[in-house]
Parts: sequence; structure tokens; C-alpha cells
Amino acid sequence: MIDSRLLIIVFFFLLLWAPARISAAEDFLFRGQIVDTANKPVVGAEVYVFDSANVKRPADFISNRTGGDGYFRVELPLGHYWTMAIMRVSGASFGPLGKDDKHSGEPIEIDSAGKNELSKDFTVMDLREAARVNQKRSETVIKISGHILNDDGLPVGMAYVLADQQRKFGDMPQYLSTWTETDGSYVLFLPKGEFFIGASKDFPPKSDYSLSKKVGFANDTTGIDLIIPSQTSP
Amino acid sequence: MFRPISLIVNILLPLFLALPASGEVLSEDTQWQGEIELQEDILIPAGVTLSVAPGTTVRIQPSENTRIDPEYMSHRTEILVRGTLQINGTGGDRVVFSSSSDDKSAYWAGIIVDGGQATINHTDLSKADAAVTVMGGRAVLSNSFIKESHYGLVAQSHKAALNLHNTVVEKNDYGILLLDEPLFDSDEKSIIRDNSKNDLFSAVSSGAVLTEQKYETPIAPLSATYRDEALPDYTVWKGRVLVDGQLRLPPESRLVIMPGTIIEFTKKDTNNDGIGENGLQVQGLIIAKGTPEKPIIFRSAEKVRSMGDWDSINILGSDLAQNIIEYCQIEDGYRGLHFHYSNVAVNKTILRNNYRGAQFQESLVSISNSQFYGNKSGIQTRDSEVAFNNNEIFHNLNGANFFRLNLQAADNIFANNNGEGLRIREGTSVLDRNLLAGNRMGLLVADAVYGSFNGNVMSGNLESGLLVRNSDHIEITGNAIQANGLNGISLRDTRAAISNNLINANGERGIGIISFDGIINNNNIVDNGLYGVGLEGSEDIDATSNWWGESDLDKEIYDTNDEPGLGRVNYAERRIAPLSFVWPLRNITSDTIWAGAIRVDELLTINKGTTLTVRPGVISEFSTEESGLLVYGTLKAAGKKDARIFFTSTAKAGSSDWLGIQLERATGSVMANCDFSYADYGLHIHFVPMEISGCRFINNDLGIRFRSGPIKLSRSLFSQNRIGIRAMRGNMDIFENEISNNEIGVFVREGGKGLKIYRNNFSNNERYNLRLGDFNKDDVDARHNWWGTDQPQEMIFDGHQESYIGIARFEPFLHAPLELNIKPPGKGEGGRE
Repeated sequence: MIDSRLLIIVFFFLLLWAPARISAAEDFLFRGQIVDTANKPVVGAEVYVFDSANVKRPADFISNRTGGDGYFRVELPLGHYWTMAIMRVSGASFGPLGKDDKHSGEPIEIDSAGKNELSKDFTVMDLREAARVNQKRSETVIKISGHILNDDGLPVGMAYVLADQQRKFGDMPQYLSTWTETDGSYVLFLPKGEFFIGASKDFPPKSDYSLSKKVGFANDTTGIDLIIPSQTSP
Repeated sequence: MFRPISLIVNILLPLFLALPASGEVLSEDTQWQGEIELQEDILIPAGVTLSVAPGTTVRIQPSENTRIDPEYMSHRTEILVRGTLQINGTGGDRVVFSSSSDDKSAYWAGIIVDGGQATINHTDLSKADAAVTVMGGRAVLSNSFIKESHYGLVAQSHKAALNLHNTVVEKNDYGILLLDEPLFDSDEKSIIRDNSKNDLFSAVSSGAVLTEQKYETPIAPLSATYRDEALPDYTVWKGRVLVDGQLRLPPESRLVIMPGTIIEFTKKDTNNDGIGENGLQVQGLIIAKGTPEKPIIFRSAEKVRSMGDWDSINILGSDLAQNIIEYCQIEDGYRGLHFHYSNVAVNKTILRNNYRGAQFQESLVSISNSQFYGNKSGIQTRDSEVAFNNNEIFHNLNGANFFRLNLQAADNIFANNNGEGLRIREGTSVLDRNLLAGNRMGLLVADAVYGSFNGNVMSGNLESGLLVRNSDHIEITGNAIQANGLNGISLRDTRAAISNNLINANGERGIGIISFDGIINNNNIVDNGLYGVGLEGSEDIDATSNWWGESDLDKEIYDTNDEPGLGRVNYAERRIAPLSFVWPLRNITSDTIWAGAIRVDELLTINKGTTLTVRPGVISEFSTEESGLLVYGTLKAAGKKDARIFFTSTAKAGSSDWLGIQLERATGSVMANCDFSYADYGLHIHFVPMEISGCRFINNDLGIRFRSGPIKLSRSLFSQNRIGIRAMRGNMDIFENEISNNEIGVFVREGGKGLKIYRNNFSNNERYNLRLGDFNKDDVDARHNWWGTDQPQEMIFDGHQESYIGIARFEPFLHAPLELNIKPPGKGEGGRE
């Protein structure tokens, strides 16, 4: 015969333990921080949680909207999920994103197996920021751009930019741009450092050509306009 | 300085230089029998026969790869026939070709005939993307079954022939596709049935009218010959250079190619796969800077030059400065341009007759103002940052294939390619103002998580204009998607915002949806063959605030009301007037149809060989003084009495708000029941035989100005113009028009003998009803008009005022106005909303 005191103990044990156990068995906490491409916390973002790889549909769970610290949390039933962070300028919680809205890209898979808490941070970005992040350029190279103009300030087509570390560079400078279109715009890629630069309509450049302008570049630079004197610009 | 990229490059270089094809190229006649497990592509080259014995079973692994070698056609495992495929099944011993997967949607590519011959007897073909595709050459099927494939049989182009004898095509999505008028015949024993979407679909593409440019450079004496060797630190090429080997440009070295240089490559084919191996391997820097007058040519050195005679201009690990390829023509290569881990600018360059025009990965690339045509595939790239602007990719088997790019693509034309014009998979893509026309599929976007597609025209493609699948965060705005064979837009597993588009005149559905989460708002969706929106999935769709024309939306939309179990397309409230669609391109180079309301912000040129058709009821507004239409092709604007066409300004402030419509040798143009207002000239016609009737020219500086003809102008109203009609050496019959309240009704600048002006009402013109100009020496036939007075001469300026001017012969004249019943525009007519 079972001791009645034992039954009472078991009863109270179940009464106290069971709800906590049930909760721990079915839910886990998914939390983390949402930041932007400058690693700053993002306000007003949410994490969308899907129970299948098909994420082109309304989410199954959505976290709280982040505050100033960018932290989110959402309690989820145990399982395997696909997650992404989204920040909508409009504040809406559904529908397609506009061009200024930000998101974290491909869904991140998470699995609660053996855990009651899981942490994951997200970086959200809009299309323009994603383009910058995905740049394929060598870090040692910078991009210089501007226009080739004549004495009157008018754009010169079929010209190009030359750059070299020597004012008189011999047969050919180290760096060249492509031919300009009628708007005179050019792009030139250079290593960081100081260079003599100039512009010409002759290829190869004439043997007495010397680069007139000395400039130093440490970062991408726009608006570097170069003049071709009109007498060489028919 | 240690550079990680150098390490990667040095490890990869041996692979890069001798990269084998991923499939098998049969180098001699071959026979299959028994059980064949096919895991890679098979290419049967010209002159080689693959025979398949009776009773053979071929199981093909249905892998879908992101990489396709240039000589192959599909992402999936394929059997490519450029030689002969002879399948010899019999009634008792049939041959089977099928996928090795049990997954019903895991297709293999199929048998693709590209210039060869496939004879298929007593064979069961199944679970293919397209069981048999004929792009050129012939396929003859006898006593065969084609089933459970996406497409059963496809024949595309007039160079393709498909013959069926006692063959059954059933239980595919599409049974037979006949595209661009192939030769097709089927005997009475053949059966095409129970294909879920279409048993037999045929379409003719309406592509862009483009010119294949070709550079020519005079042949110079041979200046240098190279074999398997490395170039020194600094090399300059000019004249004619022969490359008879694999020529290497080491790191830190430079090769400068002068304008006018011809570089020729001999053919060396050591593995007998038909593809030459000689080429350039650039690890340093290449500057090939041609000019318009002296372009640079890279080509085969063989007497009879063929595609694939040489390898490629390979550039590897060259990213410390920009390699330059300008004003070059690259032809007869395996891959014309091929680079990895490099920084390259390609400008004003022609890539033609290569297996692949260009291929690159992990690179920073600018490609502009260039043509890719006549290649098996135009361009294929991956994992790169690409600026792709103002290029033309046309007349290739496959157009452009971009995988995981950071892509900015503007003002390009992807046209008349046998496969997709442009295929984008993954990556970050921004596409503005591109034309995708006359391809089998215009634009395919797959597996993308970012994408902005704005202001593009997707027209006249054989299947869909735009197909988006498994993609998210996609913005589709301001595009004209029209006259595609099947759907304008096809959506599957996609979330997108679709707004401010013109989606019209597509063969089946404006938008076909399998699964979609997003909005379809503020579009003009009209004149599509079956449905404006056709839903095949169970989710509800938000399609509110669109303009559907006058359509009955119960018929225009296919959803749960038509088939229980489908979702509902919520279209209320519908717009009662069209949105003003801003025409995005500066040139019309493919046949185009305007519907609803169109706004033009600049001078829009309709190129020779193309037609702009303006549907009845269209309101065309022009927003700047420079805006207008310049027509070298054909303009068809046949309005109806109860659905007039309006060409007017946005501002409606006064004459010369916009330029007008200029027709230059625009033969075949039609103008009827149109209104022209607030223009510098309503119509300006040079050398166009045409009829103009039922039109109204109001508040223009000049209503019509013209030269040559012959033109018949009738039943039209000219009012409140400075000059109603201005003729110069014109041949025009002007009859039954109302010409009133202008400063001058008709002005004949010179050469008026070709004019016949009769049975018109002239009235209340401020200075003259008819003014002959100082240079006009001819008499003008102007009899039988009513001049608004019994003293017509008072309102006519001619030789009576200045003796050196011709005489207006106005007698006899009418003494009362004709009952022409030409009505002026009503209040608000031609305005929107």
C-alpha cells in the first residue's frame, strides 16, 4: 500500500514542478540585438520567425519591436526555425518591403535542440547598403571620379585620365581611365597615395606629355575635374 | 606585400588555365546499351554519332547547377546534339530516358538538338525540363511517349524541324511549344493530350530591331609571333600579332595594345574536343585601348574561322589597377573574355561568335556601350560587382546569366535570345530602363532577397516577360510588361510590391500567380488574353486600386469564384481612370502598345522597323518643351469616335508646351480620331503617304506641317492654332475639314501645286483663311470651299497682293457652310479623372 504522505508529497511536487517543466519543455527564448551596417542598434526593428523555409509569407512569430538598445526577444515553441530581422520605415508588420526598409537578407536557421535560450544578432541594411557591403573591390584600391573639361568648362568626349607617380612617365603612365563619353565623366582606380594626374585626347600620349597636377588620395574621391586646354581639344 | 588574393590565384591558376568541361564530349562514335546512369552533360559534336541500342534505359541525375560551361545550354543535366543521336528502340525493346530521382519536380534538362539530328524510335522520355528541344537541326520521333515533363517538345527558330510519327505527348505541363516558326509536322496517329497548361502553344517573338555592328581594321604585316611563353615586364603590341600557344603575362607586368592592332590565335586542340586552347593568361595588367577609327581585333588565325578556335583573354588576380578593353572586337573564342579576382572595364567592345562572350567571377567590372551577339551564351557572371550599362545582348542562344551579383544595370537591351534575355539568381540587383524583348523569357529572377526593377520594358517575349520565383523584398515599379506570349508577370514563392506598371496585351495572363505575398496596387492592367490576374494558389491577393479598363472583373480575374479552393483576388476598389504611366525609355526599338494614360518626359524616338500602336482611348501627355515623338518606324493611332486618342501636354498652358509628333518616312502610319493640342506642331510629316481623318488640332503653334506625301486629310478640325496647316512642296488632298479661329488657316510656304483644297469650311481665322508664302510660285487649287464670307479674296493672301507669288484658285466657292458635323472637344474631354 502506498504511503498517503508520499502521495501528498508527489501531488505537491507535481503541482509545483509540472507547470515550470511544461513551459521549459515547449518554449525557448530567442533573443539578440539588431544593428545596422555601422554596428549601431536599430530602433523599431523586428525579428520574423518562420516554421518552414518558405519565408515569402506572413511570419509565424514576430519579436517585440526594438527600442534604443536594439535588443529583441521572442519566446518560441521548441523547434527548427528560419529567422530574419526587418525594420520598416512605415512601422507596418506585414507586406513587401519598400526601398528604404531594411532587412537582414537570407533567412538564418536556428534550432532549439538542447537549449532553452538561443542568442543571435542581425545586421539589417537596405538595398544601397547591401550593395556597398557586397563590394568586390580590392581594399588597397580607391576610386577617383570627375569630369574632363575644356577651357570653357565644357565636357570633353573621347578623352581619358592618366596617372603616374612620375610627372614624366616615359611611354605609358601606370594608370589609365577609359575614354570619356560626351558628358566628359571618368572613373579611375588607383592605389592609395600621391600621384601626378592629367587628361589627354591622344593615345598613346605624346612623348613630351607631362602630368601637371599632383594629388594625394586616401579614400574614394569624387569631383576631381581635369582640364584639357582647348588647343588640344579640337 | 603579402596579398591573400595572390595566394588564392596561384593555387587556382593551374585549374584556371586548363579548366575541363564539366560534361563529357564524345570524341568518336559511341553506343549505349543496357543500364546507363548519366551524372554529367553529354555533348555529341558534329561528325560524331551516339547510338542507343534497343532496350536501353538511361537514368539522368537531375542536378541543377549554377555553372554551365559555354558549350552547354542548360543548368540541368543535358544531352546536347550537334552531331547525330540515333535511338533505336523497337516495339519489343523500348528505350527509356528519365530522371534518376523519384522527386516529380526534379527534372533533367532533356535532349537538346543544336544543329544536329536526333532520330528517336520507340522511346519513352519523361521527367525532363523539356524532353526534346530543337534549336536548330531536326528531331524525328516515332512510336514514342513524351510525358511528365515541364515541356514535352520544344522547337524554336525557323532553323529547327520537328517531325512526329505515331507519338504521344501527354501529361506534361506544356505539350508542344512551337516558337518562332519552326518546321513542324505530325501524322494523324500522333496524339497530343492531357497536358495541364497547354497541349500546343505557338508564338512568334516580337523582338528589337538591332544592328550587328562589326569593326574592321586593315591587315598589317605580322609584327610578332608568340608561343607558350611569358611576356616581359612591359610589352606594347601594334600591327598584327600571332599567338601560337598559351601566352602568359606575369604579375606586375603590363601589356599595352595599340589602336588598330589585330591579334590572331592559332587553333590547338590537344584533347580533340573541338575547342582551341591557345589564348592569353593575364596576371599583370592589360590595356587594349582602341579607338573608333582604329579598333583592336582578337580573332582566330585559321583560314576558316570558327567559334571556339581559341580559348580566351583570361585575366586572373589583376585588381590593383583597372584592366581596359575598349573599342575591341573579340570573336571566334571559347570565352571571349574570362576573368577572376580582377578589376576590368569593357567599353565599346563587340563580342561575337564565341561560345560565350564573357564570363567572370569575384571581380569588379564595368561593361558599357558594348554588343554581345551570335554567341552560344552572351555573358555569364557570378559573385561580382558589376556596372552594366547601355549594352546590347542579342541573337545569342542564351542572353545574360548573372548569379549572386551586386548589379547595377541600366539602359541595356536584352533581345531576341533563344533562352532568357536576362537571368538573375540571388544577389543585389537594381535594373533601370532596360528593354527585354523577343526572348523566350524576358527576365527571370530566382532566389533573390533584394531587387529593384524599375522603368524597364519587357515585351514580345515568347513566354513570360518577367518571371520571379522564390524571391523576397522585390520592387517592381514603373515597368511596361506587354505582348508576351503567355504571362506578363509570373510569380511563384515570392514577396514583392508591384505598382505603377503597365501590364497589357499579354497572351494569357497579365499576372499569373502560383504563390505570392505582397501588393499589386496602382497598375494599369488591360487587354490581356485570358485574365488580368490569374491565381493558381490558395492565398488571397491584394490587388486593389488598379485600373482594369472597362473589363468585367468577374471575367478578368481568375480566383476562388472560378475554382473553389483557390484564394481570392481582392480588387475593390478599382480605379475608374488609368494612372499616368511614365514611358521609361528614350527609344522604342521593339513593337509597343500604349494603353490607358501615358506620360512622356523627353523626345521619344520610334526606331525604323518598329511600330508604336496607340490603343483607342489613350491619353498621351507630354511634360516638357523638348518632349514629343520622333517616328522613323510606324505610328498607328486609330482612335474611335467614342474612344478618341489624345496627344496633349501635361500643363495645358499654351501652344508649344511640348514639341509634337514628327513622322520621318514613317510609312504605314495611321492617324484617326486623334486630338493634338498645346504642341509646337501637332503633326510634322516628311515623306509619309498616309490618311488623316477625324482628328482635332487645337491650341498648337502649327496644327500640321508637312512635306511631300501623298496625304489625304479629311473630317478634321483646326482651331486656335497660329497656323492650322503649313504645306511645303506637299502633295495633299485637304477636304471636308473645319478650319476656324486660327491666326492663319492654311499656309503654303512653297511648291503648292500638289495641293487640292476643297469642300472645307473656313471661318473666323484672324489674318487669313489661306496664305501663300513668298517662296510659293505655284497656283493653288482651292475651289469649292466655304470661306466664311462672300468675298473670299479678302481673307486670302496670294499673287493679288504680291505679284511674284502664285494665285489661289478659289472659284467657284460655296456660299454656305457644309454640314460637316465636326464637334469640338467637350469640357474635360481628354483630361484624366
